[in-house]
Amino acid sequence: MISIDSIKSYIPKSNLNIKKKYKNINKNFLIEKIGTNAVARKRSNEDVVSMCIKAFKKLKNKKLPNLKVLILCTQNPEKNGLPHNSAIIHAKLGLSESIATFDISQGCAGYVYCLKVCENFLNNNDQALIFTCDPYSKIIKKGDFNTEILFGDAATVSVIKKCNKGQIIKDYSFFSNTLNNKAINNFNGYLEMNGRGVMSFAEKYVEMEIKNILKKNKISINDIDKFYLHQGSKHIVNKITKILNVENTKVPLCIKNIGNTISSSIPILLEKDDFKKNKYSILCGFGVGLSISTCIIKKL
Amino acid sequence: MLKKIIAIIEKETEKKIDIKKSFLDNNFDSLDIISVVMGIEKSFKIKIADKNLKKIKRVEDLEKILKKN
Repeated sequence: MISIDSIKSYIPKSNLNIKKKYKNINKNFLIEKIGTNAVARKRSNEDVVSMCIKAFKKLKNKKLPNLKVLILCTQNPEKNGLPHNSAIIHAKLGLSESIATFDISQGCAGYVYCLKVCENFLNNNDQALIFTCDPYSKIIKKGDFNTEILFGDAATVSVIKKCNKGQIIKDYSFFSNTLNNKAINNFNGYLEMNGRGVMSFAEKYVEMEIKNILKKNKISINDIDKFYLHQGSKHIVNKITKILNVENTKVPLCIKNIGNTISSSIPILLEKDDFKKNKYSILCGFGVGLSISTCIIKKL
Repeated sequence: MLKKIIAIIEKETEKKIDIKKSFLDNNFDSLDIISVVMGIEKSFKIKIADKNLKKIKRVEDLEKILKKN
């Protein structure tokens, strides 16, 4: 079993002020539906690698004697992914040669995918680093209202440990609805998104996936302390909360001044919300693919 | 049919609607309209094409689409 030991994020201080750029936009729409007036934007001299390093530098304990794996989750790597950007991070951090280092190409569901992969790489007391960084600002067409107001840039790092105590991942579930893969895609170098398609997918299948994994593990939905959902927008998080029929307080939001940070949104949520006090938590990412990844975390 | 449409609109958006006014004049935003369309699709078991979304300005436009289906 593995546990999430610590998480740190790097969120650029620079941002895109949506209200300033789109002066006619309804203020309530931004606050109530998107969840923010501004989205984080990396500076021109920042990239996937430098943002990941900045997240790593925030870790209290940077000495990881049992580090065996370094994974980077991104779909917008530098140098078109050659070399895989995790290798550049590995080199810059001066890590041991005996560490498996690779990228995972996944989007909003990517964090749980990375956790599952770690599980298979680690033996007792081994450690892993999961980085997430997907700066969509690299592929957003300037002036594309639908995507520009939604996505923010960020990076996170999580220290994962193979152990039997702490916030242990109890089970995983994965779902792929790939016939709709064009709902979020890169077309001629620019991000294209069919918001309705993504919303419809999330509303239809996220509840199903969460309820299935709970049923399989014989856990009541009422026993879950927190549901850490991918922060697609305030609207979609609220919709899923309503569909699940759980209290709003059990479904934290962290979009304000950040935006939808793709694979970074769940680790940012976990970092900001004191997840270690929960007995049971659910993580659920959904998006690009279209895919859903869910896991149950139990405090042991 | 109209009563059912209004019930879906209010359920999906948690907003009251004056059917004499357009969605815009009722302060409905694009996400409200998408939610309404998805609710209509689910309740009436129909599919409303993306190209028809922009044509939906008022409740009567939804009625027209439903009658065609």
